[in-house]
Amino acid sequence: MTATAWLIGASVPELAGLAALANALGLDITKALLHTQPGSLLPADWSVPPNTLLLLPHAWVGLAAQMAIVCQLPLVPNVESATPDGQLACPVYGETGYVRYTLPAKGAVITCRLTGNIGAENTVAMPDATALTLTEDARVQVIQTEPVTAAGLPLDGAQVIVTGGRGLKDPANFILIEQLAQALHGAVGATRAVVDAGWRPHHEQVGQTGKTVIPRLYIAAGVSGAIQHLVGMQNSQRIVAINPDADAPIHKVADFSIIADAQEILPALIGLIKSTH
Amino acid sequence: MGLPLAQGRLHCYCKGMNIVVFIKTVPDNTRLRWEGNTPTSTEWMMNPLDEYALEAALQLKGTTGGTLTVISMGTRPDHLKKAIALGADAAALVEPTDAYNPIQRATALAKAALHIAPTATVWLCGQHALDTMAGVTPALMAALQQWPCITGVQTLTPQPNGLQLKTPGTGCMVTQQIQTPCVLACIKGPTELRTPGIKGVMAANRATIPTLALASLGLQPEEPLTVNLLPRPARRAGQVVMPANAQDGAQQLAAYLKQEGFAV
Repeated sequence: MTATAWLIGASVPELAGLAALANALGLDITKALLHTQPGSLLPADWSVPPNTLLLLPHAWVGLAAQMAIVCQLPLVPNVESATPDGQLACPVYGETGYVRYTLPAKGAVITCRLTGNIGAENTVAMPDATALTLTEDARVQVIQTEPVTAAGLPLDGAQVIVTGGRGLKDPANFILIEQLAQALHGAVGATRAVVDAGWRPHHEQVGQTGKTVIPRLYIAAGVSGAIQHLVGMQNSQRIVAINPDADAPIHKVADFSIIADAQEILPALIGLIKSTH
Repeated sequence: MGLPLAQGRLHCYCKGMNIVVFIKTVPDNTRLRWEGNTPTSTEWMMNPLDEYALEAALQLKGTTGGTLTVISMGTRPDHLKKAIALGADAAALVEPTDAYNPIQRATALAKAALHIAPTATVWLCGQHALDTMAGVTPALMAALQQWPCITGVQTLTPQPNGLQLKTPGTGCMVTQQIQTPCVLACIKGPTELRTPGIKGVMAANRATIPTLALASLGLQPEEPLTVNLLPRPARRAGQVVMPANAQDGAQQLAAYLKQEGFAV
């Protein structure tokens, strides 16, 4: 089995998360590389010693792909967990299952989800980070970056979505949804019930007759979780539900459920986030 | 169905942009069941994010007058036929590789595109497929071709030497210019995939979709990297909190979000 690993990330916390995975695999970390934006192209002569595992956060899949092609190594994407016998588990089919890989003997490029059981705790020692200089791709130019307010951020492609339902009891309470979405740089979503009631516009509707979304984080506040809503959001990577009804279906798909009134939890959460920023 | 693009390198003289869209057929995850370690689904669909890539390609073709080729890996031609009904000019299936070896898969798709649409300068696909969720195919195809790649594309507009793209960032909308040839990965855009007309459906019914063997692309099956599939244990271990008060609930939620890597 390959014994050495290089960690490649854009920040020290990313490297620490990767170190935890390397430790789970029983690997010896021989190098830690930090790359910085705006460069995106790997140097053409970049190489690694034989039988080395390259570990990157999955967010840097473009860089991982270049490394795999340049170094002629297999690519194992989106690893969620690992075992000391070299088994890597990657989620598939809408998070309902895993595909398991064997750690390739000749080395590999591995991209990792730096959430949950990877990177949550890390006390693993690693070498001092050195710089990996990437060159800018002259074929791509940023023309403009326009700030978008949370209320105006489109659901499509949003990393974070905060959705409100009839449990908010009054359309005026949607200001809490907007404020939380803004604090988390996310978009506002709505259930069919509140759209039909005229509380929110149709373009915010999530669900069977609205939009299907797959954000990294979906917060459902005052949402009961009708099946028509669930099919539009249940593939979200992480789901948080805030609803006082412990039997509400939304809690069955949630990773984190708070059995409480959203109108009480949201102001406290917004205040907490604002105080730490 | 003929392959009207395979006529040599005419793109230098073509006014339009020739496009390839890669379409994946995926199971409907909401109806997917696990029987032991085998996922089974009775419902299959075009990967929703590929639908947005296809719609973007149809709009681009409508604007520039280029040609559109659609490629899918596997044995199901249904969604390629739908693309033909909507206005694609050519289509091909590629013999399946190991579904969980992304490099082998991307290599086969890229070689197929170069084989049947050598003049295409814009390769489009969905940001990721709902089955594997990994989203590595566009990046790998770009790396193989040494072409630039942008992911998260919501809208695209033709420009004299490339395309102008809009991609949502964190709290912002980014407008970028990219030179062709390029690979673009699309997310949900402003327009849903159009519905085919009756003439298109009839043309699609008459179309024969060729299958490209891996050997014809110079590829050989490789040793699988995978061990097996297995269902996720019951439900994701959802954490249930009954807070003492609002502040307690907010603190526990903030701690969870921080643990999951969100900036709170």
